[in-house]
Amino acid sequence: MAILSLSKITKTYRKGDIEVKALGGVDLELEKGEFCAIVGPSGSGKTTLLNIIGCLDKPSSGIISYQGKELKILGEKELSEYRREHVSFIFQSFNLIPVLTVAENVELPLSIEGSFSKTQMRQKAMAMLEAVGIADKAGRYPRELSGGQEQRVAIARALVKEPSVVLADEPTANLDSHNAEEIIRLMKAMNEKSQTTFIFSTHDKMIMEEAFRVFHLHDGLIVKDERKRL
Amino acid sequence: MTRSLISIAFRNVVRHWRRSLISATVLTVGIGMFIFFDSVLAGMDRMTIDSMVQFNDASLKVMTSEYYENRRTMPLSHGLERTAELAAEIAAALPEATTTPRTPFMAFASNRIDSLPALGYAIDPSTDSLVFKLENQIDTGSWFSAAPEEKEILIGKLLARDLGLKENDWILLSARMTDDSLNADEYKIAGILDIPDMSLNESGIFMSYAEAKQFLGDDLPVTTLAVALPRPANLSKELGDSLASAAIIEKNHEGIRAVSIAEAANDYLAMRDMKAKYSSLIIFIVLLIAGVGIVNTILMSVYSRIKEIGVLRAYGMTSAHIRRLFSIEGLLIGLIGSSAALALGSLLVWWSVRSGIPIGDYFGGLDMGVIPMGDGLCGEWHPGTMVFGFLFGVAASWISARIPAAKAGKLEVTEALRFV
Repeated sequence: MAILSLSKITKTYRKGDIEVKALGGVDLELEKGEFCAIVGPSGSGKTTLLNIIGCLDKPSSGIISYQGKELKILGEKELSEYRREHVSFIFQSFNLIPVLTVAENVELPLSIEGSFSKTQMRQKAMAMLEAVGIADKAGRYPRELSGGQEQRVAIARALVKEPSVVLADEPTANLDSHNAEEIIRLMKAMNEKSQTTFIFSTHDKMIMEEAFRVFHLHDGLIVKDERKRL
Repeated sequence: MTRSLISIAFRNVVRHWRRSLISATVLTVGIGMFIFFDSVLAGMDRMTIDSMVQFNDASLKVMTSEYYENRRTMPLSHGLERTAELAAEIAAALPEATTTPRTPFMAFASNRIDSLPALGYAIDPSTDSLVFKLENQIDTGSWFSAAPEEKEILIGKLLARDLGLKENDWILLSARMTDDSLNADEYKIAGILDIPDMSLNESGIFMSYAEAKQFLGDDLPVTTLAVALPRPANLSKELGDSLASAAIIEKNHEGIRAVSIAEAANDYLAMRDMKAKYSSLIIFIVLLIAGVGIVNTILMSVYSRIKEIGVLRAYGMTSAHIRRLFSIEGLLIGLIGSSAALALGSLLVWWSVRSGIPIGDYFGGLDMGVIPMGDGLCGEWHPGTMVFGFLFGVAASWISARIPAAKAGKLEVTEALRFV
């Protein structure tokens, strides 16, 4: 069974009197452990699609299901719970919490989930920081890190709660090519190790090359579903 | 989760310490001043009541019911009978009480050029200090001689000033006698009294019963028996004790009215209650200003962290969590501001209790009615007000923070994440 299923998803925004159709009826199914990219020109609806998959935004119509359970009908509390337990996000501009240390930033999703002791949270955070190769920066604050290091912390934060799905919105856009390559390699390694489903929105050719599956989005519609390997 | 929220809130308060400090400072000054002014007002109340008790009204005054009815005209009739026995009976009923007789009368004082109305008191110099503190208020000159060679009186300092008189000068008094005829006589000013009670300071004249009988008539009665009770640390207890003692005396003696200080100070206490309402209004205005400051601080915090709010929501925080986060920030600013206010208020109260505020220096002996303007105005410790001020400051901050917190909670996640 598909872990995520989207059927005829549309999204229309209203800007004054004008209606903007961001998604025009998207159908897609994602299996566990997929490493896939959503590509397309600016304004094609990539971020909107990621937001809908991550339940940050609600579709105007259509059905979205996670492990067979329809998400659209859930209330705010249940959607927060879904985000808390099953989905993680990696952002283009990292979005670490500036007042928390690296380790505390990584602990944050566990703290929000609320089922771990302080010691457990610290152990998990340190293990994840070790995995992304930045354990020695655990006590530092985000302002003391480089962009590449910040994104590693963001990846550790996204993976620490062992989510089923990681949604990454242009994760390499603010990085130089060397750091971007490192980050892609790291995420792929994590994907292979934990069978976490990764979905990227990207313009980055490197990610497109590394992705097992690429959705080509144009004017709010998936015009091509390119499977490189199963 | 709560621990994380507190940690994030605390660090944000510290990170944006300048604006947190400004809001907390408004709260500190507002609540601190409230604590201080309340202490000063309480001190003023105590000093006023002390002044009334120590120089004029005693803890309670015993008189006949007829005299009580006419007391405002200070008649030289309706006096007490068997004064010595009455004093002994009061001492038996109230073992800690002391008594002294006093007969007030109306008079005119003159330096032979100008004449001023005066408030005369016939007193017993040997027992007066058991009840009143007049003897301690000698500014120049001396207390009554044990065996005076000349007719001695004591007068208030402002009266002496207004008539241009000093100690050992002669003053001409005129008053109606017990038989209603007019009498005038000259007296030597033995001493000048600097009395905190301004009305006595500017019109008070004190003479012994022996002199008063010669001046006003041999049949001059004792119209009031002043009773002093121990001074408790608390004003409410002092007022309560005087009321209870007055009730005991009235119960034991038919036809006798015992006027407690609580009753005598009724007008002043009513004014004090009015004053308390004004001070409540002031604290409300101050807290309103502080509240606006806190709303502004938290709003700035919300606007500078919109993207952060989006991230927290994306990671599963609900809008209630976000509201709580910003409410905690307000609460922390309130705790910091109110704690500092407690410290500031305590420091000022400690100073006013220890050293007294030299209010006389500021007002230069200005007549403030019943409020005594002595050497210094001493504050009073009011733990209840301090706790109230602290809790009110914290609560006001928390409530103020809820407005921007609600705004933060309403932010759409996607819009927050898009925010630049």
